Amino acid sequence: MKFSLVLYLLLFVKIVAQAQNSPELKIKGDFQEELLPLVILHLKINHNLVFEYEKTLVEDIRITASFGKSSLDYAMRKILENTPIDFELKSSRTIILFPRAEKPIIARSNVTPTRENITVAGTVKDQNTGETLPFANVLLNSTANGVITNVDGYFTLFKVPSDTSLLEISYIGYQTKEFRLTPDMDVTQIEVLLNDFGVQLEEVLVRASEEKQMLSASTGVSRIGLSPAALAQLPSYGEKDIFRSLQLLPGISGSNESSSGLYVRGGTPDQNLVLFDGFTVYHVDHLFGFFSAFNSNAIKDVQLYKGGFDAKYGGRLSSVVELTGKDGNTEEFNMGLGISLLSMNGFVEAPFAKGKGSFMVTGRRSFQSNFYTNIFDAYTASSEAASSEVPQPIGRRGRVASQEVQPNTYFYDLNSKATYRPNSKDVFSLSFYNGQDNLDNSRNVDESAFRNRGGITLDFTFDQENIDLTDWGNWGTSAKWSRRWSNRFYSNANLSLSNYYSERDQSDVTTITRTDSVIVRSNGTFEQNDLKDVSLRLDNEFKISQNNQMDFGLHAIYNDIDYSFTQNDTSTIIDRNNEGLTTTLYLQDRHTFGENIILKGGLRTSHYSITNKLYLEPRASLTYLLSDKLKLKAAWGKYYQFANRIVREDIQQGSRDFWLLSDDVQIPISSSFHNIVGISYETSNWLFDVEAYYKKLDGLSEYSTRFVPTGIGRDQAITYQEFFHTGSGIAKGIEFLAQRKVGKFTGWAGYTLGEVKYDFEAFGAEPFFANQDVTHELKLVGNYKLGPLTLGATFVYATGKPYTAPTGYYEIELLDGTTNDFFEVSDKNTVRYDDYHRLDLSGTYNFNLGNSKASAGLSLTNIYNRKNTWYNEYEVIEGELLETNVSLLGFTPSLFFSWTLR
Amino acid sequence: MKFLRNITILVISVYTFIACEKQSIENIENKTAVVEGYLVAGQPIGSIKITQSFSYSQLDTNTIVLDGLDVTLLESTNQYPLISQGNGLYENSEVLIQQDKNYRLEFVWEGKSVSAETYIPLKKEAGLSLDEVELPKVEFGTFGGFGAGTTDPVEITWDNSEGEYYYIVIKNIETNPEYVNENVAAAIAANEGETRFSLITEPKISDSYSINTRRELTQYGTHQVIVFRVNPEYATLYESAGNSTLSLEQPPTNVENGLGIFTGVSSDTLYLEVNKI
Repeated sequence: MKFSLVLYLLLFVKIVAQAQNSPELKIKGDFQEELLPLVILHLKINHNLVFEYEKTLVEDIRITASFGKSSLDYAMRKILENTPIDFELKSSRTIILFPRAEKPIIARSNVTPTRENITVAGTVKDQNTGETLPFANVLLNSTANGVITNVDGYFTLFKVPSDTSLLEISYIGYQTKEFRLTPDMDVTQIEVLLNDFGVQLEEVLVRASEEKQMLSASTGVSRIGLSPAALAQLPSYGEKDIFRSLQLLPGISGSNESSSGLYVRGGTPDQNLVLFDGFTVYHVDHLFGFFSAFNSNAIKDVQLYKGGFDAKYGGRLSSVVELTGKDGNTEEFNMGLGISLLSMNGFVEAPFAKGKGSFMVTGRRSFQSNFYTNIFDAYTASSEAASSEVPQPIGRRGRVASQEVQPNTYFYDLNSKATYRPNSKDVFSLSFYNGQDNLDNSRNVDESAFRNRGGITLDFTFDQENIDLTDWGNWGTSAKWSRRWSNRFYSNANLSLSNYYSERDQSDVTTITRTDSVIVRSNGTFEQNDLKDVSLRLDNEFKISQNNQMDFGLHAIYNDIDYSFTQNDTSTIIDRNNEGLTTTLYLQDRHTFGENIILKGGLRTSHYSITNKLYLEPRASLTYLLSDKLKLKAAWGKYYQFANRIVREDIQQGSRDFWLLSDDVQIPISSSFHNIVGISYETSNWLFDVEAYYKKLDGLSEYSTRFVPTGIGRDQAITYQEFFHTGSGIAKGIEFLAQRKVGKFTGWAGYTLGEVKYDFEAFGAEPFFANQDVTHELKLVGNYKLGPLTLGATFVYATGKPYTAPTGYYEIELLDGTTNDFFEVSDKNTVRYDDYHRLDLSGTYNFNLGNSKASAGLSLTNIYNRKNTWYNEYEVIEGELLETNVSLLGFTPSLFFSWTLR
Repeated sequence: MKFLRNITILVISVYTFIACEKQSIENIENKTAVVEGYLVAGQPIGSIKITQSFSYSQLDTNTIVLDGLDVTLLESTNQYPLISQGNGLYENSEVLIQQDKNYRLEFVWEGKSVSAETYIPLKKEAGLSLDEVELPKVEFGTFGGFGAGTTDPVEITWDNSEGEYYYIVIKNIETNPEYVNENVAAAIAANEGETRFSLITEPKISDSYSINTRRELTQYGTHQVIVFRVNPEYATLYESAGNSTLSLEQPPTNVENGLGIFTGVSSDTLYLEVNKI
């Protein structure tokens, strides 16, 4: 008994002591029919390990195993692979061996509990870096009593039967750990350290958070967590990309290659709230949207709410992505570098104040490489090929001239974060983010054309210089203080600044030279948008009892948005400035009934200074466990959005949008109503999930500007007017997900049947398909592990998106003698692009370089070189129809290499 | 994996259905009347052209003109029928367009009443800073002539206190114009043969135009300098015409139930001599 106590004491000390651990132990071995006691002896001598076991257990067992430098855990698994013996690491150097069928000694409690019905609280951390793990599952073993850790990694678990109970702690991308409480522990301050899978990652990287036993976790409907660390195994353009990976989930459009933004359940990216360490990020695209603006090395956790989200979140119609930045290593200095054919990145992290504090700095910048040029050469070639496939003739003369567009761009981003934990109750952190893109899409067109009009041949040359420069970026910073007042009460205060800016210079100079005349026309627009966001967020969690938790808080968001639009360098046509303050109070109560019904009800109340009105958003969600595998779920709620991203009527993508605040006069306050029902069936290996949604959208805006002559006769004038077309919409759909969670082969198949229709009076009496409407979308994602090599494949198929096309044209002879062709335009979005599909493959090889870790990978995107349409450009100049087919990237191989010190 | 197979079958079958239903640009038929009418102050109603817009599906490569319609021009209570001349053209040579008046065009086509209304702007007197310009001849194979002759620009000015739209046309009216620079003449002759010089500016809210004598005047002889005053509806169309925008918007028009332009113009003509030294 005494011995056990000492053992447990030691164990506890060891667990805490691991915080000051030396670098992880690496073992290599090559045993051929070696007796196990000898293997043990070898390990004891060479690696200073301690083994605890019963002698009879290891007798007569021979080991054949061979492995390179590996973690102790991996080495032990290899050694004991074909034996009836299992092991558990009691500490970093102590191993307990026991028969495979039995629970290990520490899992079997032979200690008499001293306290009963206790409350356990603590923190879940990464064993190697000391990084706290948010949204990890903490479960009382063999029961449905569980909680998830908060953003600081804290948890409080009520009604734990005794101080010798066994907890099961799991976190995506980490090995699940069983943790035995002991009577001598301070159960209100336990620290659980989890080992990441590292090279031996076996769990899938995405899990729907509805774990079968996880009552609290499963309260979230339409919620998905993602492990940024594991994304390297998915095919990419050389950079693991969080938003791109999210686009592979059902319900999120995966065919928007030109946008990293999330089109969630028929919503648009601006209807998706992106929170990074508490500040709102307004624009998430890098490089035409081929990359998202977040460096996955800087991010610890990603939570996505596809709809029906909690009262804590608001200000957006559709969905929420909450990103938590890494705090930095609290154990030791670490650094890493990565390079792909398109960009390079690096990070540095280190502890300070004796591990009470830590910081992390991460940076990334793209560069112009041969690879880059190759991509865009291929790009241009594909455009030409595409245009020759266009059924001829388009246009009356059957002449289509193609232009070449070779965009030129670079981006960078920088993340830094410092965290300080002076005691077990307080956490202070400062986070900073900056990312910017410069895009040069300018082009030159030279055309000599011979036109035949009335038998007279005219010879003319045509030269067009087109300037198209776009800069955009974000910066944001937040200061956070969170405090665990008690095990029941936790508060988080976050003050943040966020700025989104975009500038666009689009102008062109056209020179038409005939033998006898020169006509020069210049035209251009200059747009500038600057959005500032100052926010204060106070969030509180109050755990009233095991079955009841209350969340409440206050949010105040001050927005200052400037937008200016200048035409032809002459006059400022639009110069808007909006300021608005949104003050929000929210309250949410989560109640569990009879261990199989979880009901969440909440109310969010916002005061918006521009309209001086109150906006009420009731929310509710319900989870009903039919059995431990089968679960029904439903959610319902009202959502308001005050800051709107205005999308121009243009078919062209890119940065042709800007943010404005609603005034409820010209720009309505948009709102949505979510109705979600679903069912999920989960076994230890598989997850099957179906969710159906119906969203009603109101107060949608579309914007256009044009010169309009007003008045008649003498008083006629020409004015540049803004039109805010407003309307409503309905988005509905059903999503299917089948996921294989464990094993050598993991992955998922997702299918979404969806429809988004908008009803805008200005665009006709009938509702029309919204730009982002996709009827069918199928996604297949698979990973196959072959030792240190992981093979990945993704396939995306989606119905083509609708667009507005010219249906014809007409000629007008102008007073200067030139004849111009004008488009006649189809009804809104009546034509669809060809269907989108793409197959990507990748291979990632993980290995050790001395004591450091490295991985190298090859990605082959769009392997069968499908020419998916990005957009079509139509242009009429001097009677010639110029059609530019802009395809998305064709077959693109890319390489990456990354290295980390530890 | 049965699940996957079922999904795939579902996707393929629904896709086939959608693919058949999909609307293509080629199938959309347009039938819209297009008006091209300029009413010039002080001139008879000439050449108002009425056509039909093209569909991409249209195989016929000729413009479909709309002849034989009952087209009426209205000014206050006066009604003037326009006579179909064939080729989509309508005229009435007996009626002179008067400035500072509103005119309305009306006809019915395909059961739709198509109409447009415009105002004839007042003529503005313009002035030239010089009536005569002297330029040295540049012989073939030389660069010469710098410094000699008129170097100052020629200013064309008019009053535009109302902020209206103007554009300038400069035209050589000689039958056999002579080039200032023989190098240019030779190059042009090699291609196409000599033609008359003309320069056209774009409509702008302006009250002057400055002619760069060395760069803009390439031929000797009498030049017409015409200052056109146009309506905003024309400037709007012009704006859209020269625009290489990627947006696909219905172009501006002041024709109801139709497309195109119906607008009034007034002009003042001046003369400029370009002499050899």
